[in-house]
Amino acid sequence: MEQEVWTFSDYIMLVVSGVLVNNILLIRFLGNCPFLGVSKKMDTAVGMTFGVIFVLTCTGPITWFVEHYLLEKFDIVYLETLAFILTIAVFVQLVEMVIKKVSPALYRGLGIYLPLITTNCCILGTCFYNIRFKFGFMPTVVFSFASALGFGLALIIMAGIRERFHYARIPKCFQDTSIGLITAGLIGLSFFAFAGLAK
Amino acid sequence: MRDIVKLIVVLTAFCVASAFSLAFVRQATKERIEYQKLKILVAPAVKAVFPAFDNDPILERVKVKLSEKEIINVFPAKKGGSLIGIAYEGIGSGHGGDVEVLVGIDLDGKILGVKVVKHGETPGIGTKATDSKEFLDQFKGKGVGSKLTLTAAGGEIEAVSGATETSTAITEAVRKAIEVFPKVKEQVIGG
Amino acid sequence: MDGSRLVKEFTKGLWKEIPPFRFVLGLCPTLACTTTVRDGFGMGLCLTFVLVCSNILISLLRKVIPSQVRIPCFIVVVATFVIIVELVTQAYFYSLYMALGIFIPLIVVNCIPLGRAEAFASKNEVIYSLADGLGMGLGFTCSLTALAIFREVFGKGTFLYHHIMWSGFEPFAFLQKPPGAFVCLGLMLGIMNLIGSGEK
Repeated sequence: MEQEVWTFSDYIMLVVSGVLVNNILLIRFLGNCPFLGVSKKMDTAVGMTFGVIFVLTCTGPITWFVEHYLLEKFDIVYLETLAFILTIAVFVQLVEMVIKKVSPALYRGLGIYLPLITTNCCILGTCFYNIRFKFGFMPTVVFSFASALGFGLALIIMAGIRERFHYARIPKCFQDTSIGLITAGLIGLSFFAFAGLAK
Repeated sequence: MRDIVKLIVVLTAFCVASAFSLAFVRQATKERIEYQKLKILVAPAVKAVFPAFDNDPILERVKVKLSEKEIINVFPAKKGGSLIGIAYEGIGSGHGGDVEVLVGIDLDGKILGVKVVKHGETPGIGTKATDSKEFLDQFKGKGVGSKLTLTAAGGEIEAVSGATETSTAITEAVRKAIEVFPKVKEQVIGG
Repeated sequence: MDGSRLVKEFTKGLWKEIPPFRFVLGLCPTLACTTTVRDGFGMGLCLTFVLVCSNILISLLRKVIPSQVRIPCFIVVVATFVIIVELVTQAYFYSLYMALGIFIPLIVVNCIPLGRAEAFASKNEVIYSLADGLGMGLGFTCSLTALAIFREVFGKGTFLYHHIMWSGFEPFAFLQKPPGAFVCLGLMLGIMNLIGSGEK
């Protein structure tokens, strides 16, 4: 995915790829822990989605800057893991403090997810992918946003289905996480229909 | 106030300890990691440019300084403990960017073999030259005194028809490699 | 040092609280790194190394770390060991490193090392923390390897890259793909629950 010049249709393809074809959660396996924990009810799923979209779209570019203007300059690229996780943790901490001060209502709705998002592998993973795929600045922003969107999409679909599990008779041993995983697999299978749409 | 100072001191201590231990591990593994990466990149080429040898040229690589900023890896091939040749890369400019060519040279400056390691040439067109054994074998036996340009420019190398630009690039890469041979030989063997 | 407690802390990670089945954490590498037995086993060992080292260090320093900054301190410790694992696999196990890709650095946000640091290592002595880390790590490795064996043998027809199925065997390629991983893990989890509920 190394390109010199990005056209608008390239960006569209990147979004399609991130959201559908290579869905960050169902295909790239990132973000599973909160996925199963938060997708039981629609409102928690929506809250988490907004949180992830906000944090990822911001930290994607921020970590891109850290990589290119800090780590590469001092030839300490091997500290990438440490630098990125600290950047994300600090960013989330700052955001949490700001939201708490500015809007207690928003904090009640969204703020509790923020610490959870720090250890969400989806965030750190996408930041890594931005570097591995050698994206420039704009593609990084778009890809981060698209990945977050994909995560949210999978999460909301899952929540919608799981809310209806109340009405299904599921054997005791398969309840909760087990059936959640199987469902995720089947949703992922349906996403395979998008394969070939984009790289 | 004392609490905050304690927090800062502890955190800083952690970061410093972490940085030191990581720098140490990094230094310890640097050579080996470079070896692994090179192995993936050039091992098949190294095998192709030498006749039979029995050491690990990539493991025994030597860093040679060509100029202030240019340091290259030179891979020595040995048989029965004695050096039979050295291989290193020359770069030429092709249609799709740099063409990197590994050139194996014996101790008298005669080319043992040539293999293209990296290129951005068009598949089906430029690759007619990069992948052609016939074309690359032409370089065997030529050396420091040879005219390493295409026949169309008065030299000794026949271009692959339909892939002139790529043929030129490969020839340029080999020529550049041969040109620095005396300097490389001096640093590897000592004159 | 209480011998029976030591054994208890060690074995709980091997069955009663085995990650990721009973202790539902660390799902990402479980799904992503189990396409072959080598990858599953390798990933398990990498995580075990990080877990044991960080448990020991955090337990040693537990009286020194102020509570307000404990999470950043844990992160620094875990990240340091993760980078060490990264560098060592890159140097000595290059093909494993290439196969596991970004999931090695992602161990730093894997809930298992951070979770155990917070829940156990910061509150218990070194020897018990070591047992806890080793037990959980080995349990995780076993789970991953079991899942990987299933996915590789039936999904690819090989075991550690050697063909072991009969020649007419058509591999169940679904198991090698992402959805297959989810379904497989879900089914295994269900079966584990079934076995577990029989014990109560």
